[in-house]
Amino acid sequence: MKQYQAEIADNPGVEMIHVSLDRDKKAAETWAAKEGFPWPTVMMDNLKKSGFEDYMPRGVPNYKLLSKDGKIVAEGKGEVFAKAAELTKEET
Amino acid sequence: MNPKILLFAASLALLGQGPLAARTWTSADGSKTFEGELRALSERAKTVTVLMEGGKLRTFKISLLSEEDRNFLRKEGHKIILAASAGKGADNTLQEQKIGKNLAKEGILSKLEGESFVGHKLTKTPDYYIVYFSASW
Repeated sequence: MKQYQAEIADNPGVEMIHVSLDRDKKAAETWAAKEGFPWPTVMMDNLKKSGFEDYMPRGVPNYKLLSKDGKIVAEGKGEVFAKAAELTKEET
Repeated sequence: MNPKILLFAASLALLGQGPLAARTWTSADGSKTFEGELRALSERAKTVTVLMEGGKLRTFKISLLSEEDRNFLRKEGHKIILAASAGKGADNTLQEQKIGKNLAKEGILSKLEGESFVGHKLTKTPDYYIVYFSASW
């Protein structure tokens, strides 16, 4: 959550999308409210329409960095955040 | 606030264009200039994001820009971004993306408000998406 606020929330070059694999929407909502998730979410019933069905992982949690044209650029939390920072870093 | 400028910006944004956001930017020491469109401002990070002529997004510290540019951002920056957003400029850009066009569909995204999820629309037009798959179980 802190990493999202520090590196993603105000970064116009990257957005984080949470794909909730809970079939029970209420359970997903209760969990999100408890944790205070600040990011946009795709619920399970919208998985196909969102296009993210094509990127389904074998297990969760799973992080992928996708380019806007749908290519997988990185996978795994550490690599994903590092690559996102590298690709969208500020000019100094 | 100049209502004529705001109205003009909103009108152009509705046409899916952003000439008001396009300008020649100058470095703080005046030695460099570049062309680009204003895309985002972050007061917290004190940065500005510009779409460069070649189509690449660049984020700079506002302090690296000339006084004239800093004054422009202070006076007009947020108005222009808001006008473009209201004119569905973001939607048009997302429609050109494989990922963005799906996320821009009505009812696909939601976001927590209080204890419940409500419908959400992307306000960014990012080049990259971190997709976080998870579940409560």
